[in-house]
Amino acid sequence: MFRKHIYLYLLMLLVLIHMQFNVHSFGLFVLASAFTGLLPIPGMKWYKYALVELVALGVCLALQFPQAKVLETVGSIIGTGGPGLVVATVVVSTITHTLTAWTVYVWVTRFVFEKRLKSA
Amino acid sequence: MFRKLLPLILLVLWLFVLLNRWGTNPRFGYLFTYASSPLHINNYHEESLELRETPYGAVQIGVDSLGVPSIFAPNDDAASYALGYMHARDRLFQMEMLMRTVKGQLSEVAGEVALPSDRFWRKFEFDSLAPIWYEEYKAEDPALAARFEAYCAGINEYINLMPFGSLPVEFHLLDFRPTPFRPENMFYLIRYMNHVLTYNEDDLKATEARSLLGDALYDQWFGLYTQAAFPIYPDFVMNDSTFVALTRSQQPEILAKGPGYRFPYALEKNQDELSLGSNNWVVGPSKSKSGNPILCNDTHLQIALPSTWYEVQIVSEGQLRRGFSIPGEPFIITGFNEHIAWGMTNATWDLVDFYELNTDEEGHYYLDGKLQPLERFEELIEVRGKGTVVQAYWRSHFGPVDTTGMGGRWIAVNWVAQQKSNEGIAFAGLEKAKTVDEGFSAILNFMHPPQNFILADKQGNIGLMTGGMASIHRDPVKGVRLGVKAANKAPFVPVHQFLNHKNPARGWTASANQEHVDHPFSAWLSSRYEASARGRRIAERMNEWEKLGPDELRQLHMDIMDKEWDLIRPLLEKYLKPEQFALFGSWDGSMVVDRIEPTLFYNFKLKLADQVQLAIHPELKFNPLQQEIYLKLAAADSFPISAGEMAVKEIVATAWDASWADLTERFGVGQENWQYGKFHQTAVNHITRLPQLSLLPFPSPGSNRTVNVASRLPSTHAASMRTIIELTPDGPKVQLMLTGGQSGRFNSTNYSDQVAHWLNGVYHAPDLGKKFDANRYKTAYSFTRK
Repeated sequence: MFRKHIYLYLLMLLVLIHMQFNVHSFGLFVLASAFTGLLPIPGMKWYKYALVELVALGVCLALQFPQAKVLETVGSIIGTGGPGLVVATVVVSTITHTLTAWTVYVWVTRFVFEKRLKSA
Repeated sequence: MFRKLLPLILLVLWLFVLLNRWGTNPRFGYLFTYASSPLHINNYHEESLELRETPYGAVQIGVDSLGVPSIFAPNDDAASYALGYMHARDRLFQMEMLMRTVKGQLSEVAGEVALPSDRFWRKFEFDSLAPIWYEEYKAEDPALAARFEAYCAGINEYINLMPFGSLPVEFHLLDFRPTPFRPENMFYLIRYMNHVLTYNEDDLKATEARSLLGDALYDQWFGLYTQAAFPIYPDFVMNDSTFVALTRSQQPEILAKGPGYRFPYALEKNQDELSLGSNNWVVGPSKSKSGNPILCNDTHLQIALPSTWYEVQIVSEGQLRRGFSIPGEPFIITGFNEHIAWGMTNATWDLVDFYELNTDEEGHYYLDGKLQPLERFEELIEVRGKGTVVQAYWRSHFGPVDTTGMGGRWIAVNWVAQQKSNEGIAFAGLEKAKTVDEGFSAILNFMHPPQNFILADKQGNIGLMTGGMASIHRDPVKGVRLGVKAANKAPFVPVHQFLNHKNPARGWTASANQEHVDHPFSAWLSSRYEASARGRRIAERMNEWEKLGPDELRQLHMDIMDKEWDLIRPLLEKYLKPEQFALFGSWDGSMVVDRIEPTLFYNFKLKLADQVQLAIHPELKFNPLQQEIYLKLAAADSFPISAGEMAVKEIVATAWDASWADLTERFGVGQENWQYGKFHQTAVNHITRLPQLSLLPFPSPGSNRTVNVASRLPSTHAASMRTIIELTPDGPKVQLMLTGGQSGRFNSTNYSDQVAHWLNGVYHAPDLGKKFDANRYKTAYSFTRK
C-alpha cells in the first residue's frame, strides 16, 4: 500500500517540509496538516502521519539546525533546556500534525472512500 | 462512533491547550510548533548584502566589526530611512518596549507586573496627545516631519521584510509581533528619557518628612542650598531686578502641611539611585597641547543590554556627522560633524510639582474661590492573562489626578514632560551647526529634559549652555503645594539666557550634574543637585595639567578618585579608634578593585548616611543628601534629630560597627577577603532583566562619586558611552566607546562586545571616510531608488 501511494506520501512530506521551513505560521501549519489528511490514501493509519511528520522535522532540522547559543539560551529561559526545547518542539509538532490529519482523514477522506465503496 | 469521535475530541482539546494563553506564558502552539518556534532564530540579519528599493534615493550602508553602521545617503530623508532600518534591525524590541511603556501598553504583553507602570503613564494621556502634537509640528515644519516619516518608513520596511529567523527572541518569548512604527512615536522617546532623568516624587516625600520632623528640623536637614557649592557657571551674574522678576519671590506659595501627610507608595530612590550622573568637559586652544579644542562626554545611564545609545555615522549631502543616536529618533543626540562637536549632561532640576486640591467630594475642586469641575476620564488597560482593567483619573488645572496611593487626598501632578515640545528641531540644528554660536541657536529649541550642552568648534571656540525649561515657583521650598490659586501653578520657562558661557578665561569648561550657580537663583532650579565630588575632581585634574591632549582626557574618563574621601577622612580620624583608622593607612581615595580600603570606606559612608537618616527619625523615608550629611557631621560635635541632639562620635561608631558587621556577614571574618572587587560589582542586565540574557556581575572600580562612576551595589549605572573629539583643521579626530554593544540580538557578536571596552578604557577610532567602499566593512547593505 505504501509503495502504491508513494507519490502521495512524498507530496505530504514536501508540503510539511515547505510549510514548516518557510511558512512560519502555526495556523497555516494546521491547515497544511489538514490538507495532508485529505490525500486519498486508502487504509491510512494515524501513526503513518506521525512518521511522515517526524521525517519532515528531521529534514528541516538537518537543513538548518538551531545555533547552540539559541538552544542553550531559549531553552534555559523556557525551562526546558536546549535539548528539551528540541524534544518539546518535535513532540508538539508531531501530535498537532497527526491529530489534525487523522481527524480530517476519519471525518472527510475515509467518509468519501466509504461512500464510494457503498455506491460501487 | 466513539472511535470516530475520539480524534475530533482530542484535536479540539489539543488545539485549545495550544492556542490558549495559560497565565502570562506564550501560547504553546506558537512556541513549540516547529513552524513558528524560536528554533528558527539565526544571524540572518547580519549576513549579506541586501537590495531594497526606497522612495528616498540610493543609500549604501557599511557595518563595521563593532556593528556600527556608516550610512551614505543623498539627503537627510534617505539617511533617516536607512537609520530607521538599522535601528529596527538591531533594536526592534527595545523600541517596542519604550513605545509601549510611554503609551501605557506594557501590561498587554508583559502582564500584571507592568500594571503599575501603565497606571503611571496613562494619566498623562500621551497616547492621544502625541498624534495631535505631531500634526501641529508637521504643519509648522514639513521638512522635519518628512524626515520623521522617512525614518518610520525605514523601520516599517524592516518589520515588513524581516525574515522569520530575524524576529528577536523577546517577541517569541512574549508571543507578540512588532507594532508598526508611527511618526508621533518620537514624542514617546523624549518622555521616556524625561522619566529617567527628571521624574521623582520628592515633593511627596518632602511633605511627609516635614510632617514627621516639623519645620525647624526639616529645614536643618533639607536646606535649599548646598554647603559646598562648586558651580558649573562660576562666572554667573544676575541682577536683583531680574531675579525678582523671574522668581516672583515676593509672593510665596502655600505648602500643604500637617501631621497626617503620609505617602507610603511614593516613588522612593535610595542613596545610590540618586547618583545618576554624567560628565562633559571641553578644553580650548589655550589649554590643549595641539592647540585644537577637545570635547569629551560620558553619559551615565543604566548600562543595559541593549545599550540606550546606538552609534552611527551619516554622510548626507556630502557632509559627515557621527555620534550616538537613540533608537526611536532619527538624530545624532551627542556627537560631532565636520565643524563642531557637542555633548550633554543632565541638569538635575526639580521638574515635577504636586498640588493638593480642595475638593467637595462631588467631582469639583475650589480654584480661586470658585468650584470647578474635575473632569473624570477612564483608561482601559489590557492586562495579559487578567483581562481589562479600568483605571479612573481626573483632569484639573494643575494636571492629572490619580488618587491611587495618595491616602485619600486629591493630588494633581504637573511634570515638565507634559509640555509640548519637539527636541528634534534642536538636534537637527546641532547636526548642521558650523560654529558654537549656531549650536547655541539650535539649543534654544530644546525644551526637556533640561541638559547642559557642551560645544566646541573648529575655529577654537568652546561653550556651555543649559538648554531646557525650568519650573519656576514663587517659593523654592520643596513639597506639595495647595492647588487653590490658578496663578500658583509654576510655569515652565527656558532659562538658557542666564546659563551659558563661551570661551571662559580658564580655557576649559565642564559639567557633572552639580549646581549651576552659586547664587540664590540656584534653589529655584533645584535643591537636590548631584554632589560636587565629580565636578571638583575634574577641575582638580584640569588645573594640574598645564596643557593636555587625548591621553590625559582618557585618563580623566577613567579616573576613580573619590573626592568624598576628603570629607569622610577627618571624621574617621577624629572619631574612630586609632587601630580602626590605621586600616586606611596612607590610602588616597582611589577606588581600585584589589584593595580593602575602598570597601571599608564605601560601605561605611553608605551606612553612615543610612544611620543618620534613621537617627533623625525612624520613619523618615526622604533621605538628606549624602554630601550634606557628611558636611554637617564634620562641622559640629553633634547634630539635630527628632529626639533632640545626637553626638557625631556615637553615630560614627554605630555606622562603623554596622558596616563591619555587614562586611563580615557578606565576605567572612578577616579583611583579606574584603577586596573592593568583591564588594563593588557591575551587573549589565538585559532590559527584561532575564538572567539568561544578562551578564553575571563582575568586579569594577569606581564609586558613586568618581568621574568613572559606577554607583549602586551591584552597580547598574555607569558611563553608557564615552567620546573624545578633537576638532583639527583637517577634520575631527575621535575616540569613541559604547558600553554594551550595538546589537540587541542576544546571539549577535555585537551584543555585549564593548562591555570589556568600558571596563578597560578601550576606545575605537572610527573610519571617517566620506565615500562608500564595501571592502572596508564587515557587511554592507544597499538601497536603490524606487
